[in-house]
Amino acid sequence: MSKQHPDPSAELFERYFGLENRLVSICMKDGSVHRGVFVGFYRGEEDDAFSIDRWHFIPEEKHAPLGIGAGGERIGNVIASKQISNVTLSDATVIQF
Amino acid sequence: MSQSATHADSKVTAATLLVALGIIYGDIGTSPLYVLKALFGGREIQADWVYGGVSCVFWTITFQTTFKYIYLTLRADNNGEGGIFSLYALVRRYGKHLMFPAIIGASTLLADGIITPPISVASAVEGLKNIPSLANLPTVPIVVVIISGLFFFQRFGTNRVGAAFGPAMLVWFGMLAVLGIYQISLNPAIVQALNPVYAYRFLALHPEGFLLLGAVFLATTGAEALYSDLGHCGKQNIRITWVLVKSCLIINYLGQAAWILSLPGDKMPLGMNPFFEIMPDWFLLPGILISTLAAIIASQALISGSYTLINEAINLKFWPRVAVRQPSEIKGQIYIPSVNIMLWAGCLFIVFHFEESSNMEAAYGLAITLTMMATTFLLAFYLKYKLKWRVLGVAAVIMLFAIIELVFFTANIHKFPEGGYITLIISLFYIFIMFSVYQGKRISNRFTKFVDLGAHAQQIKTLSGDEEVPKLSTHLIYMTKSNFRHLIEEDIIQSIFSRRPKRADVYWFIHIHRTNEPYSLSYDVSELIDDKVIKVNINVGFRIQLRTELFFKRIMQEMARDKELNLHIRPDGASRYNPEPDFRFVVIEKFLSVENELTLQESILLNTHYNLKQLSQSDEKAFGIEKSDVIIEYVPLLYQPVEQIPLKREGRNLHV
Repeated sequence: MSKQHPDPSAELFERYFGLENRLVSICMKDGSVHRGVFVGFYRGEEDDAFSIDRWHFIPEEKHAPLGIGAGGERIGNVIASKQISNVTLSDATVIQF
Repeated sequence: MSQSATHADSKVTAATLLVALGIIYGDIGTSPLYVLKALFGGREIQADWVYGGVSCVFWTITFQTTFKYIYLTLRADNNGEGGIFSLYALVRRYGKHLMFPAIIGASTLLADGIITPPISVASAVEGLKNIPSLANLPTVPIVVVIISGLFFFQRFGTNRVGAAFGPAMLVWFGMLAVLGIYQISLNPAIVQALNPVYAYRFLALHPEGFLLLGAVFLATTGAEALYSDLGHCGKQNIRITWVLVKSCLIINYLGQAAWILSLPGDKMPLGMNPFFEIMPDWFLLPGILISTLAAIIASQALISGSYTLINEAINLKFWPRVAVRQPSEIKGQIYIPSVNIMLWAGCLFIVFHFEESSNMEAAYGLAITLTMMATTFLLAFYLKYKLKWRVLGVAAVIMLFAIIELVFFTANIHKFPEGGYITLIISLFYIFIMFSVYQGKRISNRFTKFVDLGAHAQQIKTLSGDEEVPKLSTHLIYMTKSNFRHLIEEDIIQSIFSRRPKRADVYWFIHIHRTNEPYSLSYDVSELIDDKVIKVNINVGFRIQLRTELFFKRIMQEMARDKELNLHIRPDGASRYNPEPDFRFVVIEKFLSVENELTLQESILLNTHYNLKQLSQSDEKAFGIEKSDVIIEYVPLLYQPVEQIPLKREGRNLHV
């Protein structure tokens, strides 16, 4: 398990985009667990401190690697960083939020 | 002010000291033109009042200018640059809401700055009334002509006349000292006024003395401008010249006070200016000319200072992107046409509204106390986090200045109905603009989605080779906000593929990174697909004007020369029929979609932000690509999409 990072969203961003296999398992603060991939993200308001405010998450079963449907509609969910409890990456690294 | 950008610890020579005299001390150096006139004009003359008033002036300059600004605040240099925005840039990571004091401080500084040229020039020109044959001369037209001329010539830069500023200010300070020494020699006892006991008695024994602190404060209003000019001369040059400047100022104040004590009547008539009264008759005309020249130099410092402040505000995303020009070859000298017009209109309004300098004194100084308080607040963070002072030390120093500035603010409050409301209204206008631009950009950032460019790279390659799709350009260049090599905005991906796909031989994604170094210029390149998808980060110093087209051509040439770009076409896309390089820029502009559910506050902020954007420079001009082939695409910013649309179908398959 990785140690607590001052900004876990920045750590997740850094590690996630360094991996070939981008399948993750997200444990939400409400206890639910989801498997899938991140296809996009929204940065926080601050310019200096890099952080991710929200993530565009595609559940594994959706099979939409770009997150956009034929009509241009969004596929998947937007998850706020503050709703996440922890994320397990494909290399078994766990990032605590 | 924007003469040259040098480091805060730049070398000290006779020449640099002379330059510092000409650039730094225009504002504070011309204060003797109006301080004692404002303090004693129309008031009963009593010896303890005069001693007390001058003592307050001396100790105010000592505490506020010497200790707070020259000794302490000048230490807070940001890569050699000073001023409230540079201080904010140094400490903003240590506090979440530090943009508030920065915005308030800069806005009040800009607002009070509108009075500096009129009050300095009017005070100098009104000296003509001391010449009997010119006693009834209307001074307002002369002031208007001088100020208008000053603003008109800004577009040409000050490189030719700037060299004369230092010698001219040396003559000015020499004149202050000589006139002061002569008057002190007639009444040497006035030197006792430097004893702080007189200042204490002035404030403690005379409640009315407290109200006069508003006039005393005028002696130190230029201290904030002095800090803003740090980048142009270096702190050592400022500190050394300050010894001379402060001595000349104090000698002149004492000389004026000595003359006031010699007045035969009980009252100093309103409108009488002791500054000109201490001049011998034969010296009046040259004295007025030197004063007018010093006032013009002071105004020039203020105008250039305002350009610098707004330029910093643009780079810190507090101000809409307006045109910033470089009027001369001198590095760092800038000219902002919109600010020039705004300041000129503001100065003329002040001249026509108040007409005489004595009326302007009543409005001057209220807003600048807020700037000083804002600087003190930010300085606390600098002392604690950058200089690692102990909390007790920081608290002691900050409390001292907070009390002094709060006292001055309270003393200046009575200026509100007398004209202070004008600068406060102008300050509120600036605050509103800066806050709206800043918050609008933050909200816009929050709703900008980035995606993995790598996930779309193959699709881009396929499109590039699909001859069924008409080719748009050899090189297609997108401007992106992402500084990561593999990420771009989702809007860019949609722009390439949606509606009519944009086919090109090479797709470029250029990110402009504004660095904290004033004049740096470098780039790095990442090829996601060889010769097909290329990401370029260009690092541009915050003082350099953006010329993206020029930078792009240079990068392309260098890559072709180094065999990094191996195209089957000529590297720049030119053909035998057209020698012009074949490239197109695509700029994506956001607009506020009507499909939003906004609260009142969000609606005001975002609408103001987008309305200001309409008034400001276009993106293609701001990027320096306005002469290129540019496609502008408008994309809605969806803040809070409307969730429920009350649209009902009224029947099925209705036939007429």
